[in-house]
Amino acid sequence: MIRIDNLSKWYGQVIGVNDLTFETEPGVTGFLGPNGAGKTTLLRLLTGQLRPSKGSILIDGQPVWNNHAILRKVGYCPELDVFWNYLTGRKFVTGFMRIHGFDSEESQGRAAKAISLMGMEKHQDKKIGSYSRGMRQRIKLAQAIAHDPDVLLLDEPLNGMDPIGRHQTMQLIRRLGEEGKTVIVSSHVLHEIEEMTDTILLINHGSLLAEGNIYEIRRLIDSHPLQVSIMCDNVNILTAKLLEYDDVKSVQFDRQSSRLTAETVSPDEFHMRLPAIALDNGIRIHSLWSPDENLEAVFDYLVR
Amino acid sequence: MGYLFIFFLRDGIHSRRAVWILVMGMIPVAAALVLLLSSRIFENSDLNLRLIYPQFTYLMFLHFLLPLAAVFTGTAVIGDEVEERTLQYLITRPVPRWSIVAFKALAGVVTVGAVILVSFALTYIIMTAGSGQARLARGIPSFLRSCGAMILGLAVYMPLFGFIGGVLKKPVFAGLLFVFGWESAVAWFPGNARFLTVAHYLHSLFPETIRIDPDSIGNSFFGIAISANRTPATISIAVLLTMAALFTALMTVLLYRKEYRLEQDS
Repeated sequence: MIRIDNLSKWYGQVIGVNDLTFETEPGVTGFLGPNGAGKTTLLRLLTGQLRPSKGSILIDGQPVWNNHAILRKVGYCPELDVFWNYLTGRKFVTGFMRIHGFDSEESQGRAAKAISLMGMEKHQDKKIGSYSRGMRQRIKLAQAIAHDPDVLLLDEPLNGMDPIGRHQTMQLIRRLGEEGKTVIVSSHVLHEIEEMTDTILLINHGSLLAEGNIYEIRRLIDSHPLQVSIMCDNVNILTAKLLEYDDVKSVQFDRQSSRLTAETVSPDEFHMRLPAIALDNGIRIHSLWSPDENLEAVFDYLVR
Repeated sequence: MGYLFIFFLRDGIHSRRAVWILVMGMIPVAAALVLLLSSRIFENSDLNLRLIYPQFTYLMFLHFLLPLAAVFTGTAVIGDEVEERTLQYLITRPVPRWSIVAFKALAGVVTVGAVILVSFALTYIIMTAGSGQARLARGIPSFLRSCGAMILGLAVYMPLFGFIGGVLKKPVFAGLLFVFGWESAVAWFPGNARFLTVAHYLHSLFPETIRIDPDSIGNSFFGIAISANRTPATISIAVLLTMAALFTALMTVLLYRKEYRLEQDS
């Protein structure tokens, strides 16, 4: 469905994408890489926003650059959080369906269906300017899927979503892949990609580092310690408890900001164990995240 | 594809720029009201609204409102979508890129044109109201011709500034320099340089400039220049239409050829 041959994109002296060659078939493919890896540039090349400096991109056998007809088959969810804020969610999606060439009635029907799929019925008549980040992300996804495209290009679609929203969106993406759509999802978070697909492309500095099954790449990544940052009520106790386990190599904590950063070589066990530790010791966890630098470290390791 | 026009029309109406243009559009009306009140209060003054009407509309509309509104709206045709980063939604739709810029420019012509025409109509009524209904009616053909000239002017300025907005980083400044520098000065130069301005052809079409009575404004450079340097109406229309087509084509080619980088590109 999508074929990329020796694709490169330069911005003057800066390389955005460097000699990429790959093919994707129907199903979900994950673009995994740290911020600035070239994922967005690649997606903008795939949507015909940028012209390849070298090489070619074919969707369904047709070039993308300056070929607006092929975009009928493409749905695109950009990463940037920009909108016409005076529009309501419904008008935003319906408007794009009208631009796609559907008549008023069909546009409204398609918009309603997509908005419902994204769980935004309650908020569809509010102005986008009043939406939360997660709601804006959902409405952006609704406009990407409303015309039922064969190819879906989603740039960091889970950014800013709450856990329930993330879960629902990941399920939807997986289902679209199972229905035979070619879905490309970019993310810098491994476990997000992992929940949606087994097929990933690892990208860093515009180059393809690895391609294929997620388990092989996961093994490579797991051999590298994962950093997990936690903000919680009782940093001292949690630090002490975490250090009791062999897979936790180090813990740095800052009592004033109630934050700790642990380094583990077994992220899955770490995440499974954490809720029990918190419950047993009456520790309230406010937030938990994995700093992106960790992925960058893995990529550096893979490059070496 | 035609929906793009409605989309951009709504977008134009909702923009903050629309408010500014509306405010600018009321400046000639307010000035006309001040003149009307002055003529009524100071009854012995030499202020004759009917006589100064041609010069007033000429300066207020051809040299102030029309080019200024066109600069602010035209430079936003591509510039706004790039600056606000909404261009990525538009150019990833199955519509030709020319339609994006052409319909946005057309929506600009309609919204700005509406403001200008309403302002022009109010000014006309205020400044000729005292002359009686018969004179008011007699002036309507000339009024309509002026409206046509201004719409034609917008059709040229809008894609011209659209092109400038797509090429330059500070298009408004460049646009202002163009209208208040090049257009305002060169249109009066003797020789052939004036043929390189849009204003010259608009002057030639604007009936109010043709009706200026040199005696009423003395032997000023302004009066002589207006009276002496006109191009026949048909040629002026043809040149303006060619310019509009040329600038629209340039603006369209630009969107086809140019890539717009966003801050996230790396």
